[in-house]
Amino acid sequence: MIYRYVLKFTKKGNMRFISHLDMQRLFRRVLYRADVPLRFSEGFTPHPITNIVQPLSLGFEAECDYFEFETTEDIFTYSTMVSLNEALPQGIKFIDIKEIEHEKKNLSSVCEYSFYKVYVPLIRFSQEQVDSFLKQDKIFVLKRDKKTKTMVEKDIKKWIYSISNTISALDGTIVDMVLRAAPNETVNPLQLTVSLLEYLSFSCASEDIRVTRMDLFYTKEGTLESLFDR
Amino acid sequence: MNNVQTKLDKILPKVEKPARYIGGELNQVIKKDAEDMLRFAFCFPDTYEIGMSYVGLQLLYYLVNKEEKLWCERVFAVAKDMAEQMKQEGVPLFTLESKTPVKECDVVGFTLQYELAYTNILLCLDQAGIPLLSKDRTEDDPIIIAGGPCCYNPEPFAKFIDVVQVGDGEEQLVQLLELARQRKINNWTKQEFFEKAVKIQGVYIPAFYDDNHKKLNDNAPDRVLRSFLPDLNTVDYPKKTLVPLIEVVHDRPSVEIFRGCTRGCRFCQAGMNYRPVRERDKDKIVDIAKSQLSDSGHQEVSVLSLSTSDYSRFEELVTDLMDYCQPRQIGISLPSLRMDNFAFKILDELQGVRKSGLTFACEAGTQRLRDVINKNITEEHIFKTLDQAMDLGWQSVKLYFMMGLPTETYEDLDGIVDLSRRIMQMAKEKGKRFNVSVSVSNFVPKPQTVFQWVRQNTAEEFEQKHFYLKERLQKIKGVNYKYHGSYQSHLEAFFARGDRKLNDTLLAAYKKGCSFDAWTEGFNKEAWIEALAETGIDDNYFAVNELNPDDIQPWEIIDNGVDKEFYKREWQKSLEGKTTDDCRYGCVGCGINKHVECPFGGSLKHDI
Repeated sequence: MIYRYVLKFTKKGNMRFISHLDMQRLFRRVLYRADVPLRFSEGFTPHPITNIVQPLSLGFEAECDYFEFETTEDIFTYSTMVSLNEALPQGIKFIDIKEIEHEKKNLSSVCEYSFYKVYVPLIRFSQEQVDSFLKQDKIFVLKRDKKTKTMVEKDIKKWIYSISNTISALDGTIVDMVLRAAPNETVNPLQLTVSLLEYLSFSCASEDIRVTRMDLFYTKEGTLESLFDR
Repeated sequence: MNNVQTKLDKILPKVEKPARYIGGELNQVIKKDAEDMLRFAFCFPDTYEIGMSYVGLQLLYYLVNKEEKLWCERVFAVAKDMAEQMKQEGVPLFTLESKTPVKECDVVGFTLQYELAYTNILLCLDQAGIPLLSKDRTEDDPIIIAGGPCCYNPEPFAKFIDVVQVGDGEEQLVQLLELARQRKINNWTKQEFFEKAVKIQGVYIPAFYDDNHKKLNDNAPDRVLRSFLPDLNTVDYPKKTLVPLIEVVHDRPSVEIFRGCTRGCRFCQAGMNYRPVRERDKDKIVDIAKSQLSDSGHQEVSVLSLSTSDYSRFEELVTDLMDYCQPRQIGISLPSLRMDNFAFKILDELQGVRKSGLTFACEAGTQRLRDVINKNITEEHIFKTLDQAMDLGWQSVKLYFMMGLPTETYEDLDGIVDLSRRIMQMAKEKGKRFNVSVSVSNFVPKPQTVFQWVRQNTAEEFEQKHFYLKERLQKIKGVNYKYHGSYQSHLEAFFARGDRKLNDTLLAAYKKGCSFDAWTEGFNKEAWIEALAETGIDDNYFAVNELNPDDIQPWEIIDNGVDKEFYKREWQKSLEGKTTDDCRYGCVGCGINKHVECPFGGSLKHDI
């Protein structure tokens, strides 16, 4: 039999520097450690079937990311999940679990949008300024070209769902971004913020900007729904 | 959140592999600091990925932290990009666990595994803001200690280190740190501490001797005898290990199955310095492996020793490990395995269709030279093994050799070519696809070995020989050839056999920007040549000279427990091309049993 689970997790603090691949290895280790009967792929080099939905850039934090895996027995429960947390480093934590029918597509292939909170320290700007940025015909960001492996300017206006809730205070500005996050259709919120600041004639070192992913979405009858609710 | 962490938030997004600097791994130890807590920074002077693969770190970290009032934290050398950022932001070198500046620790310990890490000692001290020279440090600076295999000749770095520890460290380090804790509580001066520390076996205080080893302190011993742990089973081995969050060189639990070696290879330093052979109980090993695996979730385990197959209950051990690992799809790595029928059987089971490579440490190309170095491996054995291996589906073999061994001629190099050719010929006759990788390292004469007096080839001689081999090996299809940088090997010999004058050269080289010398990238030969010239040191005097066995050498201040007469006898036999049997078949009189029980000497009988 095949059982499929999805775990919701957070990734905060220094753990934002653990790469996607290392996260994958970490999660596999904690599952092995808990003797979870993982289902393996077939073929010459069998490996456990696990998947972290939408790789998160190194340095970004996550309030809510998703990890899927398959088992051969129906034994994974909420308390199993809690016990996994014992072996996770401070900053990474599983916070919810759901079993899903294994016939369903994996979450990576249904994911459409990613919701980020972006914090820009020591700079103040307003939603009106953001709106005028969004009114441009084209919005260029630096993007890595897969073929030439160089950074090129690319118009990604169509991949911006919204930039909203701009809140400015003395220590800086926080803004919400919902951006396209489907295979080969992604926007890096950090690069987009850099473009926005350039447009507003601010200068800010990109490593000072903090990005947190709040959730991942799919669309259902025209509205955004959390991947977890699918 | 402390000051270092705040600045790290700013720095880390700018550097490569920032996770090397964050700590936070499973089983890291955080203690509550207190007035009577001894803070120990254990520094592996190379990158995180290398240091975290070192089993000794796991062992000592565990043993020190087991003591309630001792707190051991880790420090690694930081890469150049990180060093630059730290300098800009004014962040000193810090411990991974609590992000405490190293300078604020009570004791800083360097583990010295290879000579080319010496400049990194200075790099780390400098980044920590600690004066480099022992004599320049005040009562408020940490006590700087060092341990590890390089301490069998501590002279080249003696001026930078306050206390050198030689020998088995399990009990000795804890004892020394407890003494340092007493110093902290009782406000002893460093001098008072040294006077007491020198009474611990295996402790060498460089400042108690002048540059020619004339004693300056009455308590200092004439020679420092290394410490011994007579029975490995009396000290706990970690059942839980630090589990790195990023990929490191060896990312798996590793259990030391025994220490020492009875084979007596004449070039080998570990074979002399870890005598006598002491085994860990089989059941303990299996138990440790199981708990390390189930705690970490790793899918591979390795055993550690100088010669895996020599473990007295090897077959039982492997069978027990396989019983646990196979149903769980956990891999077992068995390094330095001697290939016999049993080994084939288990490797076949372990590796199934995917065969990893076989490895032979031939060390020399002809039987004559293998006899000179006392490397007990014959061509007959190699070919018999490969015959079986090819039939069982192995597709490659790695052959390790050393170049520049005493009495070596070009005939011995031809032997390497000939061996490779005949292996490929054999594969061809069998109609098998096969590859041979020949890896040649440069012989470095090491102190406290039979070959300690031997001259090393010059870098030019090495280059010529490599060229000679390359030309011949590249003509054979299916053979590839790898070798080491000659000047780096030259420096290794220079430091391995150096005396106290080399401290100046080391300092000069560091000031010219030399660090991470074991790395090919960034190695700065010109800076070394300048540093040698400036300090007026003749590198060839230390590396290339043939030494007189009757002279007293700088490293003889340290006694590893093996008699000098034994080295001399072996050196003579070596020149006559005579071998010495594995001492499990009869004591060969190395002298170690004068200091400690030698449980395996003469324990075996030859099959007749």
